[in-house]
Amino acid sequence: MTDTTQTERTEARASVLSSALAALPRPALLLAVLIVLLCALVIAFGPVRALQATVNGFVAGSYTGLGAIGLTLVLGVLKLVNFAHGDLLVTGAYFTILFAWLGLPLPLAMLTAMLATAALALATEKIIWQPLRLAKAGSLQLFLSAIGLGLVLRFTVQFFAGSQVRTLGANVVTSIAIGPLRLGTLQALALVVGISAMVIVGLVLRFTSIGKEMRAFADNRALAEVSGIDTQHIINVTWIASGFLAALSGILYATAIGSFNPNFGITLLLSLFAATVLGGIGNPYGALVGGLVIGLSQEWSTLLFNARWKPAVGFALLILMLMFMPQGIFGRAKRRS
Amino acid sequence: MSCKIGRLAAWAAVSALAIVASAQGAGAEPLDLKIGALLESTGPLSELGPPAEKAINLSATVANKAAKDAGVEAKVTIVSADSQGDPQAALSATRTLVDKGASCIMGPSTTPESISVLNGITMQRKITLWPLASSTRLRTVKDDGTIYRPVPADDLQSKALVKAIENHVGKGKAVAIIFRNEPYGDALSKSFTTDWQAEGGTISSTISFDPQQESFDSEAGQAVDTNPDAYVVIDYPETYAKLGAALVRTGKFDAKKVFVADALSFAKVPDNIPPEALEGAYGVAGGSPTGTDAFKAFNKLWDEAGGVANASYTANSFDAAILCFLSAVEAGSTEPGAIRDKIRSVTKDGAPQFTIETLADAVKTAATGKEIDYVGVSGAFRFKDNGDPSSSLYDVFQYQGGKQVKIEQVNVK
Amino acid sequence: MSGQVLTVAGLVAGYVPQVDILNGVAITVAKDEIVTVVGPNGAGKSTLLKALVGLVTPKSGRIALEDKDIAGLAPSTIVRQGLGYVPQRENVFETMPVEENLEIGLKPRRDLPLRLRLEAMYALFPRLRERRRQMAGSLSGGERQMLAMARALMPQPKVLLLDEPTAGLAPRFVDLMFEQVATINRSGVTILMVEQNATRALAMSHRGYVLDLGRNAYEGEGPALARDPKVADLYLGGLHG
Repeated sequence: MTDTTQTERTEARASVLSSALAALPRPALLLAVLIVLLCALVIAFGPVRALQATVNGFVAGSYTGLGAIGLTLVLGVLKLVNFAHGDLLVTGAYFTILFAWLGLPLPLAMLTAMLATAALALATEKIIWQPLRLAKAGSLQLFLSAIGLGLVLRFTVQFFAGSQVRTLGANVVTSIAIGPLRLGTLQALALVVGISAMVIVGLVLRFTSIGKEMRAFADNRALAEVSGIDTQHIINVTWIASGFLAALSGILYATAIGSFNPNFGITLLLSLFAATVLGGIGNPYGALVGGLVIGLSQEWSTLLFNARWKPAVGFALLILMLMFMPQGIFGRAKRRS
Repeated sequence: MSCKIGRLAAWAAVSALAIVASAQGAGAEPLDLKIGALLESTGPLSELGPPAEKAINLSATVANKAAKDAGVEAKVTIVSADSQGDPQAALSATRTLVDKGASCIMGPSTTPESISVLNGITMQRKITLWPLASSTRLRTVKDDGTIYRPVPADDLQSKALVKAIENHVGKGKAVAIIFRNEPYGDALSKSFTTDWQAEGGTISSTISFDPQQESFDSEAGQAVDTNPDAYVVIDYPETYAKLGAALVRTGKFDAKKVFVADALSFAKVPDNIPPEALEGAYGVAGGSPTGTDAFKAFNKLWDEAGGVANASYTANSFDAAILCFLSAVEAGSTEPGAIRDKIRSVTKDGAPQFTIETLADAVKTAATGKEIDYVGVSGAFRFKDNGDPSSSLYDVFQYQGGKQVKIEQVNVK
Repeated sequence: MSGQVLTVAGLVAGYVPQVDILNGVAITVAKDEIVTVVGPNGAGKSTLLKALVGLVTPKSGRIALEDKDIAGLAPSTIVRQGLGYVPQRENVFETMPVEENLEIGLKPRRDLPLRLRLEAMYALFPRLRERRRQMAGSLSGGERQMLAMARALMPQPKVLLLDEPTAGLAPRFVDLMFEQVATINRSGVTILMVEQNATRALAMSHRGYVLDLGRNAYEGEGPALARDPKVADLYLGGLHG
C-alpha cells in the first residue's frame, strides 16, 4: 500500500472514530450529567422533594416532547421551519370540541379530530407548500408563509370557536400516589402516550420501508429521487404523520392541562422548537428527550430559584447546550462536503 | 375692506349666539353622550366581561329614564369593545371606542391594560378612564387627572385579606402566598406580606409563577409542603384552572384554607376550574353597603333585567358610568375634558345628596350647573387627588356548592 | 436501430429559461457497451446525465430507453424504467448505514429479492460487506464511490450513468475505479460515463463522444478518439491521466 492509501485509511479510521464519538456518548454523557444532578438534588433537598420535581419535570417535558415529534419530522424531512405547527395542535384540540359537539363520544371525537388534522396538514401541502416548492420559493419565503398559515389557522379557530377558555371536561384532579410522590392520572397518560408515540415513530423510521425512504429523503433529496423514491409520496406521508401527531399532542395537552384557548399553540411553539433543536433535528427520540431535558431542568430549577424563573432557566440551558453540542443530543455532525 | 368688516360682523354674531346659548344652560342643547365600555369579553379574564357589560348597560337605561323624568334632553349610548385582558388589544379596542365618539372609558380590569390605554390615547385626549384595576401602581402614574378609580386599591384589599384570615383562621398563623408574576399579583402579595407580618403572622412560603407555563405541579407542591394554616391565592381564572388542579393533585391540599383575591371572585365557579380547587374557599372583593335603598334598587334592577348573575364590582361599574353621565350633564357638554373637570362637582361632599332612586332630581339639579353629591350603589365617592376612592368596604365571601355566598363585610383603612 | 439501449436525439436542456446548456446533443448507447462522454469544463457533460435521469427537464429532443420515450418523466419513474444514475457528489445517504443505502437502491425493483441483490453487490465490492453496518458518511472516498455504484446497480439497470466516477480520488484509486467500471461492464451492465480523466476513460471505452458548448463535436471508437490528435489538442490537452 502506498502512502496515499494509508492516509485514506487513517482518515477513514479517524472519521469512524469521530463519528462514534459524535454519535454514541452524547446521550450517555447527558444521562450521566442528569443522574449526577439528581443525586446532588436528592442530597441537598431530600429524596421526596427532588424526586417529585423529577416526576413533574417528566410531565412538563412530555407535553413539549410529544408536540415536538411532529415538528421535528417536518423540519428534518422537508427542511421546513413550520411555524404553524403549534396551531395544528390547537386545531386538533378544537376539532375534538367540534366533533364532540356534533354528538360523537369523546374518544371517537378525538380520533376523528386527529384524522381531520392530518387531512388538514395534507391540504396545506397541496394548497401552499407544493405550489411554493414548484415556484422555487426560498427558505425565508417558506418561513414567512408558515407564520402566515399559523395566523390563518389560529384566527379561523377563534372565529368559529371564540377565544374564551375551553375545556374538554376531563377530570384533571385525580392523581396516582407512588409512595410520597404524586402524579396526575392524565399526566401519567400524557407521559405514556408521549413515550409510546416516540417509540412508534422511531421504530417506523428505523425498520419500515416508508421510514427508510423518509430518512433517505431527509438525508439527500436529489439522491432519493434518482434512487427511485416517489418523493411526493414521502412528502404527503410526512405531512399526514405530522398533522396526526400534532393533533394527538394538542388533544392530550388540552385534556391533561384541563383548560385552553386558541393561543396555546403559539405559546407552546417556542418550547417545541427548543426541544426539537436540543434533541437533534429530525430525530423523534431527540424531540422527546429534548422536551424532557427542558422539563426536568425547569422543574429542578424550582428547588433552587423562585418558580417565576422557570422559563428563563429552560432557555438558558438551551443556549448552553447548543454552545457545547450544536447538533443536539441525537443529531449527527454535518460532514465535510 | 367691506369684506373684512363683513367677516368681523359674522364673528360677532356667532359669539353672541354662543353666549346666549351658554347663558340658557346646558338643557337647551341636547346631549348625546357615548360611554365606552372596555370589556374583558375574551382572554384570561373573560369571566369579568359579561357582568361588567350588563352593569354599564343598566346604567344607560337608568340614566336615560332619569333624563326623561327630569325633562332634560340628554341621551346615553353605550359603545363597547373587547380588551382581551391584553395591553395591546386594549389599546386598539379603546381607539375603536374613541372613534365611535366615546367621552368616557369604563374599564379595563388590569393595570397593564390601563397604563397602555392611558398612555396610548386617553390622557392626551383628556378622556376619563375608570379602571377596575386595583394595583397601587396606578396611583403613581402621570394621568393628568383623567383616572378615576371606582374600586379601592390593593393596599386596602390586602388589609381586607388580613381581616378575613384573622376572622376565619385566626391571628398569627402561617400563610403561604401563591401569586401570578405580574403587577397585580406582585404588588398585592407584597402589601399582604407586610400587613400580615405587622399583625404578628408568619409567611410560610411565597411562590410566584409565570402565567405562560403549562404545568404548575412544582409550584403547587412547594405551597402545600410547608403545610400552612391558610393560602392566599392571587390569580386569574384561566391560570387558576391549571394551578387549582395541580394543588388538588398534591393530595395534601384543603380548599377551605384558601383565601382568594378579587380577580377570583365570581358569582358561580366557572366550569374550567375544578370544583375541588375552590369549594369552601374564602375570598374578598370590594363591596357595597348592603343595607341601603340604592343597593336594593340596584339588585332589583339587575334581577329584572335577566341574563348573567351579579358579580363583584358590578355596582362600581354602574356607578362609574352614572358619574360620567352626571358630569356631562353638569358640564352641559360631551367634550371629554369638560366631563373630567366636573367629576368632583358631582361627588361634592356637603352638596345635596342623590342616589340611584333620586337620579332624576340629580339630573335636574346638575343641569342647572349646581354641585351635587351622587351617593352610588357602592357608596359615596370621595376621590383623592390621585383619583383613588377612599371607599374601603370589602365583602368576605365563601364558595359553597360552587356558588359565591357573602358572609360578612369588613371595613379597612 | 436494433440493439440500442439508449437513444438521445436533438436534446436541448438548461437550468434556467433563455440559457440552454445542451443545444441538440445526440448519443446512442448499444447493449453491453461502455460509452464515454468527454469535453471541456462547461460543455454540458453533467447536465446531459441529469437530463437523462430527469433531474433537469429537457426543453426539446428525444430520449428513448429501449423503445420507451422517457423525456420529461419524473426521476423516480425514469429510474423505474431501468436507468441507474451515480451523481458525482453527495452520491450516498450519509446518515444511513451501507446496507440501508443498498436497500434504498432497490426501490425501483421491489420484485427482486433483496438478499440476492445484496450478495451480488457484496461479491462485486467485498469491501462494502465489511462496512455494511457502518454509516455511509464515515466511508473513505473510494468506498463511497463503490457504495454509490452498488446502490445504483441494485435494481439491475439497463444502463448505468456514471458522473465523473474518478473525481476527487487519489491516483491509486483512479486505477481501481476504472478497473471496477470495466468489471461491472463485463458482468453485463451497459455504461454511459462522463469523465474529465478523458484519455484514460476513452481508452477503456467502446465508443466515445466529445461535447463542446452543448453540441456533439466528435465521436468514434473510444481508443481511436483518445489517440486522435485533433481531439487531443483541442479538448484533451494536459489531461494525460
